[in-house]
Amino acid sequence: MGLGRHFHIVLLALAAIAVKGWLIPFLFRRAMRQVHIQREVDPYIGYTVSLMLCALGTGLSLVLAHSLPLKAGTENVLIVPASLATLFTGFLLLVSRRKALTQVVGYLVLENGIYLFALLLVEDMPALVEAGILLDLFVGIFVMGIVINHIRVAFDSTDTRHLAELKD
Amino acid sequence: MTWLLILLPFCAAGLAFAVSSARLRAWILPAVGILHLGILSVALTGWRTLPATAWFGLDALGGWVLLVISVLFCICAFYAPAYLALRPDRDHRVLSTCLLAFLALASLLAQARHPGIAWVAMETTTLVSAPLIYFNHNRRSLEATWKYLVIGSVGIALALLGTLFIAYSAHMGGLTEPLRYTRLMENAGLLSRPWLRAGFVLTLVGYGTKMGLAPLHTWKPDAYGETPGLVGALLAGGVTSCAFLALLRIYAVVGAAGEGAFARELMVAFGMVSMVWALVFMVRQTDIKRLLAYSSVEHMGILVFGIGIGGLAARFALFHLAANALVKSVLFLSAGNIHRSYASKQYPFVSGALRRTPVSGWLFLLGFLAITGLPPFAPFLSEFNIAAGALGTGHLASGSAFLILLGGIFLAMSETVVKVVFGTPSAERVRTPYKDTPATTAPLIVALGLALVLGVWLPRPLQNMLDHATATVEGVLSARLEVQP
Repeated sequence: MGLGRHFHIVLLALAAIAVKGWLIPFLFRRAMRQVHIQREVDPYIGYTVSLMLCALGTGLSLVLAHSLPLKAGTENVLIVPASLATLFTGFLLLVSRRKALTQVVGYLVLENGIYLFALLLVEDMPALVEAGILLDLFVGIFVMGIVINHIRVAFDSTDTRHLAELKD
Repeated sequence: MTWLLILLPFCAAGLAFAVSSARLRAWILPAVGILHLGILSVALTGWRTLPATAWFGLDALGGWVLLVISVLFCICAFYAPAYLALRPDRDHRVLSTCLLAFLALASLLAQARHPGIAWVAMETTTLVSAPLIYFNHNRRSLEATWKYLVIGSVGIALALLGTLFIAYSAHMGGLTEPLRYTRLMENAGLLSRPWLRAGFVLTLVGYGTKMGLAPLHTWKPDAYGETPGLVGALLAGGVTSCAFLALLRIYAVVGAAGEGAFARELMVAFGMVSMVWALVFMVRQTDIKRLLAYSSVEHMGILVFGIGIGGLAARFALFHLAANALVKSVLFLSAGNIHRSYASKQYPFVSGALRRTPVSGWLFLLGFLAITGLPPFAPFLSEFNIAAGALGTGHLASGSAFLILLGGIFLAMSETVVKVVFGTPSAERVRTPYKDTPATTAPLIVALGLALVLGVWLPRPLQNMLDHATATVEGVLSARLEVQP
């Protein structure tokens, strides 16, 4: 473990705090102020059912992670089931909510699950790739934010139910 | 030299954003397209060994895919000025910038020798193609863009997780960074199998979403239906080829690790499902652009099916990448012309295209015949050889199913195409001033001509390149096969 690697990990942590802890919430608060919504009121899948499904998903993640071997010395780390469960929760949020903003939150949760898994590899990944992940996350949110703004202007709402004109 | 392939379109994108004259900006596209193709041709003629430690470089596989994209971009770029002149109401600053940025990113992806860099390039490609889909700035294109962004982002996120899984499988085997493709393939025996398998499934689903393999294709008909034909052609032949390349790189690693049989089965299954799904949705599809989108789903299915069968079929699957891109550009651009002329893209509003726009009508008809496998066009050669490869290697059931599906898809597509092309233009249709001009049809004729030439004659250097590319895909990598100027 050289000094360079420590530096790399610290830098990454700082970047994560800045982007995930400050920048994205800032963008979200601004978007929420603009579209005047506080919370999702009528999701496709109700809150109770969502919770049950998430619990089920977490259980499945534990089973799934059990079948994947871990490197000697880290067998007891719960990172893999935690990341799979987070991924599942994000996916569920993404498909079960109507508002464009909530769907983006779902996507962020999903990305967090992946980021959690990447922590297993943090010592072996070059800064280039990890920086790419953060950058893409940011740009992705940025582009989605722009589209949300267009949706708001075009439909006077960010409800994706309006986005149901195209079908076979 | 190969850096120019990335830098040139990238700088041009900046220039296109800065230029204020719309006419001048439209002409940047063909200028960059032809320069890019020229540089690429020069880069591909000089063969030299690429060191295994290189982060970037063109090998046969990347070179082939980039060549296809570059030719396709040229065709679309030469069509663009005339098309954009037809749409004076729409500002094309963002469109031109994003088209050029896409070319830069495709060049980056083709040269990336590390799965992480390839992933970043693929993700950025998704982001730059979103504004392309939103070109028309109406509610329908907004819906298509949102679906594309959300579904595409989830796909790309799963591909990232798959890439991380494969990195962890290398970590388990004691490999450390940099995990370039060459290194992964040389040390494939060390990779941890469960992680490698899980990683492949995730990358297949992830990049498969970007390619538009059923059942992950749901963004495709909406996106292709709502964009100009110009963008549709580039999405159907360019973005999908990028995702296919990223998938093939991982497939090669899995093959080198001796897990080829597992990967092949999945690829064949995905290919079959895509073809069946496309067939089902093509029946009674009256919207010509959505019809083409399902045709794209079908051809992505053919690509992964061919790769999954392997050997001869894999070689012709790579050839089919070029055949599909060329003919799809003819189809999308002529459908775009017909759309301009009728102010609609749906039968019964569109009918009798041969009378109203004879050149575009003929191109659409010939493109349809070519894509469904009429000899001597290139798709016939590839589809025939993929079927022959499947039947010749004992895949009797899937090989026969492949042929039956091709027949069914021909029938399903012909129903709408015949009604759109023949017949008489309905009396109450909207009058538009659009007339076929050489500027809106010449690039299409060139593309169709190329598809015809490829169907009967493939130049020796390209044959060599295809052979090497097939070997790379099949996982038999040696440093000798790498090329670089």
